[in-house]
Amino acid sequence: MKILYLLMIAMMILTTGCGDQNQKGGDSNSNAKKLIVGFDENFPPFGFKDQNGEFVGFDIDLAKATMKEMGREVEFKPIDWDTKEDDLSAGRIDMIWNGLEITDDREKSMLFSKPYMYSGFIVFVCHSENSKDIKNKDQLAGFTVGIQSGSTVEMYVEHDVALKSNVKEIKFYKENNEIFKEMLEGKVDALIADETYGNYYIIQNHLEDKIDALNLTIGAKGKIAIGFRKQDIKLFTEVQTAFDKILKDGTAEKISDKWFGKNLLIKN
Amino acid sequence: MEKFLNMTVLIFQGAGVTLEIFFITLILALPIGALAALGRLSKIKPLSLLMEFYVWIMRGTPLMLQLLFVYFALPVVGLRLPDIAAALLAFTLNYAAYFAEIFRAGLQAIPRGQFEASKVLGLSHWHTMKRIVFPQVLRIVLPPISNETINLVKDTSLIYILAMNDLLRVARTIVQREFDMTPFLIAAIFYLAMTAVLTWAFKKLEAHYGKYDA
Repeated sequence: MKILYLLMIAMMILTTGCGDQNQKGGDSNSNAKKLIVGFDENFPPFGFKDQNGEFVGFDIDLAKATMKEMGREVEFKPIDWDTKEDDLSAGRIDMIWNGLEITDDREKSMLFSKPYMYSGFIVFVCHSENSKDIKNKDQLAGFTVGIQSGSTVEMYVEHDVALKSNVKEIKFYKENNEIFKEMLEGKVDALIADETYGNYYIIQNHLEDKIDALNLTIGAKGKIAIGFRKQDIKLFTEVQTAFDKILKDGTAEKISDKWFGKNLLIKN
Repeated sequence: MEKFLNMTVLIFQGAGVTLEIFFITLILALPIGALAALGRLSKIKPLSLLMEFYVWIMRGTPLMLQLLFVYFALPVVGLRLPDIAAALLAFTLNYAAYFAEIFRAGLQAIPRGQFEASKVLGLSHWHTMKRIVFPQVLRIVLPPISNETINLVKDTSLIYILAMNDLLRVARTIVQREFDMTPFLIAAIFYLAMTAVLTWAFKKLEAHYGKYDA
């Protein structure tokens, strides 16, 4: 039975040993430590894996630029979106930077940076001479409008009496990219999609001359920010200061331009 | 076809994570389980009770809960293991408990009379164990061990909750991205292939250690 005791003792030493090592790294206030940014790797254009298996995306670029400004090393760690609060409080990540929307529930458990972008659904139409003049829902009269079924936009449209009574027909699709294709073929006149996703799709498929993103929001607008641990005020301040710098000096604008073809960042 | 191949390559990479968890857990859990079984049958009462308690905890709570506990709750009290180590700790402790019960059943299946007979014949305790008891225990425990081992292959998929890209999570990711259900089929084939190999290997082992059967 001595072997068993020895083994148990060895295991305890081993496990606590590992723990100690990580403890030293666990202090998010020490400047030497790598900062770990948590993100959902299946959330383009904010964060995803490219063909080479590299993590890329709009928020990945913003985080990289900010950490460079801070002079800190950064590690991107994919997380399960359902356990993001646990990942944060367990110290497995230091912040969530991934198109994270500010909600009342999340504000109870997280410290949010200043919002840097809006999230929301806008109307896209095929480019024509006067397509840019469409500024309110009345002008969509007689339009066939495509939306993705099962997404939040369906709920917004369902409750938008003005919109529903104006348009000719609302067509439901399983996927956003299907609607874009149908619109280019002339089967729908307009589509409602997430502003960031839609602009990203246009850039990706080089449709800048063919599709216009209208200044016409459907439903509520959300605010996107970086999420920190409630008590990590020092880290929050450091990141916010550096982020403000790249927002001011144009670095962030260039990143937005790369991913969305325009500046979608909130102007301070 | 090219799409199918690309998917298979990605899922194959995921299978690497699955196999890593599987083999390391098996290698660690088998000896720990054997020792825990010996502890459980030990005459030292506290040790025996401790092992009974350990088995109760490990079998009495879901493996998923144990994974979440090691991954998210231990860091709160200051023990933050790296991802893979956290997963392995939960899997090993859980599977060792099941193995311990299998080994205990195997050891207890040996009639007391054999120990007494060996003593009369002048064999040492170690000699009795090595030459008389273990070969019989091995034969008895192989089928249930094989059962648990096959379970382990499939249980590895639980690590998706820790965002580790095992076989099933990679498949799920592709399904979500491409709205194509083929990855699930490919994943099923991978799991079936792994269990087929295990079934075959255990059959061989059973034949080898069962050669004295009448």
